Amino acid sequence: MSVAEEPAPCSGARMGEDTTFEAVWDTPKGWRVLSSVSHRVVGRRFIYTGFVFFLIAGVLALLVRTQLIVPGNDFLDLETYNQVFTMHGTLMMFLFAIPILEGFAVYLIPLMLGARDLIFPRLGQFGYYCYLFGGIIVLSSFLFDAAPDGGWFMYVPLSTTDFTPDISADFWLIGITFAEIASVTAAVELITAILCARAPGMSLAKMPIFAWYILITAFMIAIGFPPLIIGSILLEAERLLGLPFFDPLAGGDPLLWQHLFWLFGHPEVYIIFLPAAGMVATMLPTFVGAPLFGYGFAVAAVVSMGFISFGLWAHHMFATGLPILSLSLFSAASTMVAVPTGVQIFCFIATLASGRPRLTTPMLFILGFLAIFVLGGLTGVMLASVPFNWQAHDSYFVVAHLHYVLIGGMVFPLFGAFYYWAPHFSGRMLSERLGRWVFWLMFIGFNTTFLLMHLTGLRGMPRRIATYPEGIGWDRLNMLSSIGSYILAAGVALFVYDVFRSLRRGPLAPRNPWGAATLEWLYPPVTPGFNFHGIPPVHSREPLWDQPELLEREAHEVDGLMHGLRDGRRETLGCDPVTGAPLYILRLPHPTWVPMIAAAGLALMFGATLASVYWLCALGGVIALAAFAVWAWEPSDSGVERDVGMGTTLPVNLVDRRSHTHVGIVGTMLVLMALFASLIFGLLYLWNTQPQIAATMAAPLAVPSGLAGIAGLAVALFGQFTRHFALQGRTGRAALLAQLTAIAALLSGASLGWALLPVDPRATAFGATLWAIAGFVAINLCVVVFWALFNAARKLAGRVGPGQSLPDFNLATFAKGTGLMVIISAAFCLAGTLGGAAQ
Amino acid sequence: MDSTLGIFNSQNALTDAGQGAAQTLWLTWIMTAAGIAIFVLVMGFIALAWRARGGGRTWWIVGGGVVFPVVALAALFAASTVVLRGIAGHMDAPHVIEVTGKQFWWDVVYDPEGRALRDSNEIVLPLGEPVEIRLKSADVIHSFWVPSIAGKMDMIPGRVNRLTVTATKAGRFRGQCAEFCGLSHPLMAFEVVVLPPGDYAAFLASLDGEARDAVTPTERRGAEIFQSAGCIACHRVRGLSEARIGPDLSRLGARAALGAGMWEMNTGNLAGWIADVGDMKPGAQMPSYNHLSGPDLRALVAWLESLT
Amino acid sequence: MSPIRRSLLCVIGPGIVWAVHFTTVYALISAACAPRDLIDYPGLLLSGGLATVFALGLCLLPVLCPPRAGPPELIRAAFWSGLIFSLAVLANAGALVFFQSCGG
Repeated sequence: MSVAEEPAPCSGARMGEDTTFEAVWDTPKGWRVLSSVSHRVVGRRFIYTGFVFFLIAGVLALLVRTQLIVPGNDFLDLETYNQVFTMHGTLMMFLFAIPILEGFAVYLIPLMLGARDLIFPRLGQFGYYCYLFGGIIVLSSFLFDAAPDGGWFMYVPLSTTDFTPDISADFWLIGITFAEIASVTAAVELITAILCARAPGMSLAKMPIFAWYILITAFMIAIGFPPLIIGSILLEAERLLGLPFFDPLAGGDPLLWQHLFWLFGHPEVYIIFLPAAGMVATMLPTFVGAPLFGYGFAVAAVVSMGFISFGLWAHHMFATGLPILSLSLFSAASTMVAVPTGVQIFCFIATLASGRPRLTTPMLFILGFLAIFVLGGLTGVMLASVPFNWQAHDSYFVVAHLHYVLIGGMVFPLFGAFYYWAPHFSGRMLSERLGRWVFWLMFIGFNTTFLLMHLTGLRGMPRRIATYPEGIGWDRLNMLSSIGSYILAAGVALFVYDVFRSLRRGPLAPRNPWGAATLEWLYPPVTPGFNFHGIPPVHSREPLWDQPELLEREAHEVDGLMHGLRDGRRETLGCDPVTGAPLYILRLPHPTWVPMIAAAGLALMFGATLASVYWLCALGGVIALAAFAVWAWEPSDSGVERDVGMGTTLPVNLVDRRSHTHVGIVGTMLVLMALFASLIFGLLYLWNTQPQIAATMAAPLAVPSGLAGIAGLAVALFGQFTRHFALQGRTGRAALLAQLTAIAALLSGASLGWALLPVDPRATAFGATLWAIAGFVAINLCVVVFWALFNAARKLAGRVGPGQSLPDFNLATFAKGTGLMVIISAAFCLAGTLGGAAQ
Repeated sequence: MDSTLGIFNSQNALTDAGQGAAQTLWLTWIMTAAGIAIFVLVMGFIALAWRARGGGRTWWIVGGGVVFPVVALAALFAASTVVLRGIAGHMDAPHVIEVTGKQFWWDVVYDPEGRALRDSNEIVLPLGEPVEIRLKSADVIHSFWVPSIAGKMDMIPGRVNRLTVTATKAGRFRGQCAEFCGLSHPLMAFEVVVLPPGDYAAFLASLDGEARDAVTPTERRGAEIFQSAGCIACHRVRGLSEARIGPDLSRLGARAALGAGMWEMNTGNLAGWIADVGDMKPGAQMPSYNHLSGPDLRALVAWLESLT
Repeated sequence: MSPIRRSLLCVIGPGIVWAVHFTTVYALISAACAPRDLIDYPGLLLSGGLATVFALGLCLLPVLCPPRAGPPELIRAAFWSGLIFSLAVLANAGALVFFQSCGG
């Protein structure tokens, strides 16, 4: 590794630029702010946009409650009502809850962990624009009078072309899939940021508890969203191309959609709950004045909730006629998830007893969260009981339960968080007096609305009905619920007023206004767009409480690593994922329009698909691909070393498994594997439940299947060798092997397609799924080929210096995973051939 | 439009007119009581913790978060399993009724493998005898739910789900589709009539043979309009038509409700329905017959009401 | 492996074991109760039982022989994670014995 003593031009110092720390991190001015990639800007945008969607979805909820206020009401017609409740659920779940929590994570994680930015800032900007454009696509359906009206769950066959011939379902499928890209990219980004960029000394055991919550949540998103993305793509393919994945006449199954949907849908509830619980675990110690009690318990609880929540999906399907053994299994798993939830609640309660609690507005919201969420959890346990579920399912009891869990478990902590972190957004405090009004209006309104719904449901009122006859016993209950919803809305309206009022008249927030313990309060809240001049070493989970040197001096004078480093580049510290020991200097990108252009290209692609203008669709794809290429076309920085102060010298951008780009690739592979696994699940499911029709499928060809398998093995092996040589710094061999990997990838893709030639994807759902798997693998193989050529082109163009093997190393990891997918797919093709021969 | 549904005894999971509903209700009360008790305990605990100054204790988390939930959940799971075995146990029911969900009504066949007696939007059950209800769908997913008698079960295209119910009280109960099934999902209900076993046999016998003959001249005129206006192409009336596109009308006048359990069956509602079905139930396949003259409409209604 | 890595593995490991066990039990039930009818109930019980014994052994490792060194918080987290997942494995297995057929 070459060691440069002075910053050389090729090492990334941008010549002729102002290189003061503040100038490097300055947020672009005027309309150029849209090109900002800073986590502070992107995080806030996620939060603000999410809140706007929350308000829209809230207005839709009020329309629903107004329609139901009296029996036989004709305030909304049936079609409008169906659109309204569909969009209410869709906006709340996809465009409000997850994005706003991700926004908080994007904003807070680097500040809490001692990083100057998220690790992949451009990915953050890209994700935000995907989310925004996806949300606009979904919302714009109202303008075209084609708002989705099939429920936020989009059950087939109601959402197929037979029963929804217009494009309302396509708006939903395409818009939501697009917005989900944002969630998945944010997940990869957060995993990598939490693992790779923490303050020196911050081992996983010293990490603020919020980061544990977000880390587990991000893993859950990476694994939990792919089933729905695959489900949506399959359904869109059924609608556009006539592939019969869910058509029972061709060996498909409507229940496959429900499995895929709830494989996402149940973890989703925990994905929403965990970050909010993490906020509670962060705010509570501040107001109690004592550290979170039972950190180890909380970590165990979060980890176990993260896993167990994936074993509950079928409890949304108890009434679909599953075998009773399945019901029993899912019922058992559903009750067991109450144990870690209980552990977590009691951690909070024990924390309350550890100091002198202050009854501030955020604390009120925490108490409200405890009351509401505990009740929602208890009704959740009731719903895990199969016989009770058969009565309560799809009745207002479930409506009550889910709002107790989601509003109690997420919205109340979120409003607490608004009051708590408000200084970060405006530099001013929100009003404590109005805050109490907001809380009580929301609390009373919420309980009036939803407590009664338990009874309404048990009295037999099904969900999603626009009208009900008089005299069945639901009239008064609905009237009261509607009145409650207006009170709840008044609380939210008062909050919005408080926000705008405080922008001008709120008291300026002092440094660390609440006396909190975590690093995001190190600087005074009214800061420009940078985080840490120096990254302070941390040896406590409550650094601001236990390390008095941090608050003794002005924040910008606090001693830390990289304090005086002047490369004219945005940089932060890369650490060992487990121990938190500083490993390398992590170079970060500066403001750029490229991710936005990539997202716009994708938006054009998705929008043109909706409008069935396929040449425009291709154009959008080309724009996105070109933008991605420009994005990655930057000089490699590895091979340089710097003195970062405090007696430490660190290299720039490590070539190692622990390198941030490599961890990011591993995170991406996790997502891709989950996508692949969802397809394999679909294949096995259809094979198992529709044996007669699966048997009518023409078998794939044996020889090409075998060839594909061998070529897949070659992809994986070449990948392995590439990694090996890259790690040893033998760049020439690594580069050669990377090209061999690409050739093997081409061969394996071609053989896979050849093997499936006899299989007609429109004849059977099983055949269609095989083709879908091959298509998915082929896309990954194309990425391998494109990437290998791209790396070669960068070398030829001199963007990669001698000795810099990180690009090939990352490609190799991707190729290994892809090779594995090819082998598995080929094995399934071969099994199909052998199975066909046996019959 | 008059939509008062005093004609039904109940549509309510808190009443027990069937074995499934009764056993589930027992479980509901137990779980509700336990739930309220636990809620009060936890809230009390929070209040104590608020005042406590001694600091948290590990045993709180172990006791409140692990030991107590495990014990309580094991008890709940056991109780729930006992009830589930009781409900899902009747596999050899003496009666079989096949119900097919359609947008937005219910096609009913009694004894599908034997006499195959057809009716619509009303299901008659024998008091105290287990009945296996076979649930199918002709289009999208529906869900069959009679809260007063038993829990719900979905109707899924390509599958046959089985629900065994035993009604324990005579009367007329309301059921409703519980899975969102499209535009007029809220208007897809049905009647369940529980009769003593003797009356049930008589009822089945009455489904055999031709529908009641038209007697008065108005009724005969109505029967003619039924054929000339084209109703006959979709609706079955035994002896006149075997069409299966719309509901069976052979004993329409005997039902208490109209439009799949939605409106009280009376002359005004029935005439309004025929003339304006598109408004009353958007998405229904039947066209509105608002071109029928007043006398024709009255005759048609009179004849349909006479079919009992 | 450094102590902190080992204790981290003890926190996450039981979760992975639980996930594999859950998937196994679900796959076995699907094999027994779908139209293809791959195995019968005794076969289901036997293979499910074996998987459970195996999974329980692994999940209880951090409980019975906790990591000796490493941050105390993570050792405690490993203990409770092992215990919670052991209970969850038991619950999944218990679901197999209350009903002796797929019917319902």
